[in-house]
Amino acid sequence: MDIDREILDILKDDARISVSEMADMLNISTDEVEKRINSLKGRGIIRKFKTCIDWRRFGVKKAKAIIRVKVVPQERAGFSKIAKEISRDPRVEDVFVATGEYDLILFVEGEDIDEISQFVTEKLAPKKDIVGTYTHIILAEYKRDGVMLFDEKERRLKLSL
Amino acid sequence: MISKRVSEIPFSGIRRFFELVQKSKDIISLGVGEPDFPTPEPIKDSGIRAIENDYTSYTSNYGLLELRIEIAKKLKKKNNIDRNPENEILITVGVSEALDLAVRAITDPGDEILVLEPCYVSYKPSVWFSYGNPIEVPSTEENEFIPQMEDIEKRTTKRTKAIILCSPNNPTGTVLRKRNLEEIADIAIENDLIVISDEIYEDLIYDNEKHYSIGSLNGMEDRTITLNGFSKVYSMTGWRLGYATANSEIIEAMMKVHQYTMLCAPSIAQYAALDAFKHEKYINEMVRQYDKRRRLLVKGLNSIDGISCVMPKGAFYAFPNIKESGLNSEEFAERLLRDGKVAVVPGNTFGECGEGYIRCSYSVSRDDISEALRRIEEFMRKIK
Repeated sequence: MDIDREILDILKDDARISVSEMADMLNISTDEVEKRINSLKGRGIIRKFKTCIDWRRFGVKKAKAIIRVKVVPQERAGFSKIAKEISRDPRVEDVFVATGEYDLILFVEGEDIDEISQFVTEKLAPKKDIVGTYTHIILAEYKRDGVMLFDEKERRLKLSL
Repeated sequence: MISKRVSEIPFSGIRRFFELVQKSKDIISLGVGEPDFPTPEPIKDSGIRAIENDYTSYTSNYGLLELRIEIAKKLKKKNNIDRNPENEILITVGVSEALDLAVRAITDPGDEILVLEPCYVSYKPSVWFSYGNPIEVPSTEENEFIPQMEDIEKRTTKRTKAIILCSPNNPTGTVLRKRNLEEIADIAIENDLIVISDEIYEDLIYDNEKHYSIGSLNGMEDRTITLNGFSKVYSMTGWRLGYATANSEIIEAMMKVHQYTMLCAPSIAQYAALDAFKHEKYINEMVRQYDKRRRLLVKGLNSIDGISCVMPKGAFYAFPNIKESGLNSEEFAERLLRDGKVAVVPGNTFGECGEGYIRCSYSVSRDDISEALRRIEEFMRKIK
């Protein structure tokens, strides 16, 4: 059993799990758990601990879009330059380089559609390396980062022998 | 109106408790006896395809030959049991039916069947339904719930026909080692007994323990009925699919009963399971998850004042000792449900020697285990 791998699997599912619970699950000391987590952080493997929030349920409406971006043909390094540039914009949640007709896929979040539209027209369109975009406005969310955003009834019997 | 035999057999002891649990709100249940993983996608897809392709008619009484061939291969590879798929394997409606058939096939009125307790609730009633006498063989926590040879020998008489055992065990999680099985096999051979071996939890095993089939031991080939199924390991409880393997004489006898009572196991479930053995990676992943939850639960229980728990080696149950609470199993379970909002199964449900214990399943989410532990700890503090 690769303990670091197990730690990552557990944290991926629950970043707030206590060190002592993790120690119990992995049969190692709490000190070792902390040491390993610190090392994983230090090495940049654990980038950040975040929370998966259902904003709609909280009453906050946000506009989200997937934007596909076509870039002037260039070498890998070139993609990296523009991908990093776009990543620096706080409105952008995710940036991927992908195969297909479009080269980059972005997940963008804004207060409303206007903000998304502003991002496309003001941020992306003027870039001379970008030759085209295709925007999908997200209508509903069901699952994000592996987390279901809807409740399901437990179908198992509460007691069975 | 109701026959004397059926009236005499009690309902599963916890029926009242069962109803209480169903009515309770906001509880966390560690009472579940089935996986919390869904049926693996490829198995579901095969089931859907079976319906689409109209594979929905009766199958052979023995079950689909293709599936029996797969089972025979698996028995050979994993259990070191060599069986002819033609007439030495019977596909049943879950292991429950297989157990019933096995007992019915071998039991004459008055025959004594040794039941190694604590054990699953249907063993004794199956014997009663066949007009046999179940003889309880208790085991103790001191021996990690491994049945002791002298306890079995002591209860073996001229009327003894068979031994029913289950490893990995529900409710204790005990895994019988090869040495234990060899001792039981010796008794069986010496006294000309049949062994009915329920191996439904065979793949759910931890700490580098290994599952052995008693039917693979020398001299046991013609006196073992091995029962297994797809419910626990492939998360297919609702599909109702099990199987039995033994020599052709026994399997044919079991088939006779099966033929007149069930005709065949559900065809859709049989087609769905055809490729199941190819999907072992799902099992490995499940076992990894269960293993972590097992440790979390058992270490958590052991850190609660007044509770102690042996580390189980298999299945997905822990069987903690609650004697220090001063309550018996049923009182404990009822009060824990009412005051602590956690459902567990009283240990005496699985035999008298389970008195003073409760069964806690770790086939629930990690969050539920943590919260249940918190509640149990608070409950224990209050009743002190």
